[in-house]
Amino acid sequence: MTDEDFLRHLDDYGAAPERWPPELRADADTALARSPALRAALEQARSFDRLLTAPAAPVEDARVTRLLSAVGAAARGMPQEGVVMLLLGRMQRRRVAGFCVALLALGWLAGGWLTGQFAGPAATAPRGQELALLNDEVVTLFDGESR
Amino acid sequence: MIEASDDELMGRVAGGDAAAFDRLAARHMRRAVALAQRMTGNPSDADEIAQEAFLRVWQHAGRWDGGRAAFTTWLYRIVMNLAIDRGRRPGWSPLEDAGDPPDEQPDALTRIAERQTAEQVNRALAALPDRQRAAVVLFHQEGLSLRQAAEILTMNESAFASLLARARAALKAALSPDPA
Repeated sequence: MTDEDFLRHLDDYGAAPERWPPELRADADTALARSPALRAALEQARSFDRLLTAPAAPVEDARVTRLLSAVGAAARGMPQEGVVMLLLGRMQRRRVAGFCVALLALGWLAGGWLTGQFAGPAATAPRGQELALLNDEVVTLFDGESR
Repeated sequence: MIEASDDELMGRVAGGDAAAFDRLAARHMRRAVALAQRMTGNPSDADEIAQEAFLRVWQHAGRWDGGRAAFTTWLYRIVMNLAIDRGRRPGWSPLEDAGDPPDEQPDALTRIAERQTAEQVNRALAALPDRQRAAVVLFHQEGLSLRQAAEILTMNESAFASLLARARAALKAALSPDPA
């Protein structure tokens, strides 16, 4: 790692080389051991990092207790996600759409097959009877009177 | 008595066990609030975000897969997403700055200077794009590793490293005593 590389990584990831990407750490240590200028740059970068790591505002016990009480009560009045949503929720939207289309297609095919099964005898009726239904006798099927 | 792990508690929460949910919330509520407050700079928003995050944990517990991510990664992801969403609402602005400097210095002038610096840093952080601010909060303020922070923001490690580098460069420019 050249000095320029080290300084670039120092800018990018901050003044804790042990938190840099693992593949850079050993080279960073070597570069630091070699160069007093890099050690000085590291020290300077530490003061910038300290600005970014301000302590968190305290979260008081009473506040946490109040939040826990509120969230516990709210959860008890709230149903959890159902099984269908759980299954669909794990899928990507495209997959959900594909799954729904597949279900529709399957339903359509099953419906067609069942219709074919139950309508089987009519489909095999003699040709003559079929023709008769298309003529005068059809009317009697609806109003009960032959015309 | 051995404390149940997050994974065990989550398994029970997914089965509708409200007592397990209470224990899980008690274990992680403080950090969830602190994280939300760092992102929003506003205690009341932070409270709402933390509550909403835990209610989502309850509602969607069945979706969590312990083999893919630690519970805390999942929880922090929910908190960060809620905080980012809130920041995008029209008219939203933080009411208070996040965090005061520690009140340990004997010298009042030093305290004032520290406070001014902290306010300047908070303003510079608040001015960053959401995901850059999230990168600084997770890596520098929460002390997470590059990999953990990347997982929370659902990006790969190198993309996160690049996001962090952009955020640091922007902050350095904003906090420079002699801006170009």
